[in-house]
Amino acid sequence: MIGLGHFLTLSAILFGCGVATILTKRNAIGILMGVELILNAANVNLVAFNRFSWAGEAVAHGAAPAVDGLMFAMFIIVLAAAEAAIALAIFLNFYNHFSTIDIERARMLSG
Amino acid sequence: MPVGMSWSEVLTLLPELCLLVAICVALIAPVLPPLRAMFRASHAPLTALAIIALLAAIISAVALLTGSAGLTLPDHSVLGGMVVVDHFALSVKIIIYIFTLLVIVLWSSVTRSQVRLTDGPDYLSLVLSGALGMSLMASATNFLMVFLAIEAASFPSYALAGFNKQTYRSSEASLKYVLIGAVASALMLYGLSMLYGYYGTLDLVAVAQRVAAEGMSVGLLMGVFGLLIGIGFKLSAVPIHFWCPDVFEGASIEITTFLSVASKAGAIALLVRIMMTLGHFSSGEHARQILLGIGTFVGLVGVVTATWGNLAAYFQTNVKRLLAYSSIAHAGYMIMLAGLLTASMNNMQPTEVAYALLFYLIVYAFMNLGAFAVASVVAKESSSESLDEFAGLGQRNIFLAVAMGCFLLSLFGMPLTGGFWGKVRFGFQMWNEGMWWLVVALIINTVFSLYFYLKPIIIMVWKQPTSSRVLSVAPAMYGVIGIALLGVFATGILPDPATAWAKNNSRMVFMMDLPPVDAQATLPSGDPVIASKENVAEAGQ
Repeated sequence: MIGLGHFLTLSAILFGCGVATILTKRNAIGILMGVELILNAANVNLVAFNRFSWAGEAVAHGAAPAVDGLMFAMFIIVLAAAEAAIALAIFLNFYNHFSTIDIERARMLSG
Repeated sequence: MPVGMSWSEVLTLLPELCLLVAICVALIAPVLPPLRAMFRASHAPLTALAIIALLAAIISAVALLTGSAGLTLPDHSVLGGMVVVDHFALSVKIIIYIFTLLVIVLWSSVTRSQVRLTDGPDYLSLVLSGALGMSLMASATNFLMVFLAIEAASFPSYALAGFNKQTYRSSEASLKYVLIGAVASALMLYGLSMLYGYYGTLDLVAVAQRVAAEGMSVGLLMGVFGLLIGIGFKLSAVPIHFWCPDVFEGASIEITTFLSVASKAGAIALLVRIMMTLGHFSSGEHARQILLGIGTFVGLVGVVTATWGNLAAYFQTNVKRLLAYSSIAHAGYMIMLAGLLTASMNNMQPTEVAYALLFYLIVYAFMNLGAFAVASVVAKESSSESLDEFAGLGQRNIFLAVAMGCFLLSLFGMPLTGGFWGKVRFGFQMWNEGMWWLVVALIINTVFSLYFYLKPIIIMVWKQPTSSRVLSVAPAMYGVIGIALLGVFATGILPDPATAWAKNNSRMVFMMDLPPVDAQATLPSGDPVIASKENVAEAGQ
């Protein structure tokens, strides 16, 4: 029987992969991919918690099933898309100037 | 929680709706064939539109705050518990809107010519949507709304930081901003998902009540940690502060001004609301220890942030970087104050702390606006942002030099300026709550900061100017700098009116209408408007 624990393990693995990607990648798009992994880890958490812990609880109290977690996950998906759109536009602009999106090259501003 | 919504509830969001309408008009009107020629000819129509929208937002916020024109504050949160419109939120919103308005005036008289005419609609709608997100941050009471508000404030800021597409610095600044912001918001969301998993609700008050009843939990720790990362990013708290000087240097100067005050005002209001709600329900023994821990941690973050900002500012030769580190230090002072809200040992009055913060925000908005306005004039004249361009400013334009000196001394905290009273209030609150180590940190930091605030003044007075040409200033700029000067001295010499205003408007809605846990049935009935006015009157005494 697959339960909450399995989903939390999956989410923890996704989170770990995301953090590792962010820390090791030097390419801006690679870092953005790491961010997406963390966002999806949060999504898996929210949907799994909603399904296994809280939807049934509300029904037991005579209310409609709680959908807070599902709604939150929906919003995260939409905003992740918006964030990717802005980030890619900014990377493209950076590429026009520096001919690379290696973040090691972003060294003009420092101190 | 009410399912439906009444029109009076919608009207409480009138300030935001004004901005929303202006954003839509600014995006749609310039592409309509009959109007296209007018918008292509100059920036003026759109600037006027933005100013009118902000004025309408300010007026409706003031009407809500004073209860005039038939607009009244609700006694509960609106939009199904997503946001709350109370005195504290409205006061912060008014500060944000007035500041945004002055930033647009600054933009139209100094740097507007750098924005192409076809980009004008995008630029102004980004500024207005940034202000919209920041004002939602001041209102959010649900963690979903916290996330949405932070992102709504962040996305326009990323784009604005890189708006000057032709320059290398601008593109690098926006790259750093968007990457760090994306990582911070992802970590915040992971923490919030754990908070949801543990408590089964995203409502701030419900979580605070559960914390008061049950005390410490893994979900709470991860959630608070995530929130601190997300809000700390907006506030440029150490250790996620390093985007701040780079973005401030790379972005256009009016955007820097906008980010330095409006964005931080929204974020600190959100942090204060979260900490105050947690602290308000913390009567239980379970909650005491963990909330003390959280408050002490936040206070420590504030101390480290302020110290780091003040020390790093020593080595700066670019005026925008100098002011960036100065704004990090000021954010640090405000975070220190937010820590008090859950860490106080004594029987604390939360509104006292909130009023000190509101007063500080007013002063901080004026002095930062003034300093950046003078810097923008000097930087435009010499097309360089180096501190050396301030050499002999006293001989080139005595008004600018004197004004800059006043703003810098106010940022330092000189008596007779508003900055002094802001810091005194902070120190007084910290001492009252028994957090003497925060008072010591505040005093040491103020002493540290003297050197780098004096540095530009010494350059202005004693160094020989590189050019003897008299600096001419647009009349609108005199207006902006004059308003800022007036604000700095009005709050410094006669602090009582601003103090009274801040005291009257620092109440949050949950303090008047939310009964303690397990007392939902005994909700006091009666006219909420009269009840809230009585509460205000009590708070003012």
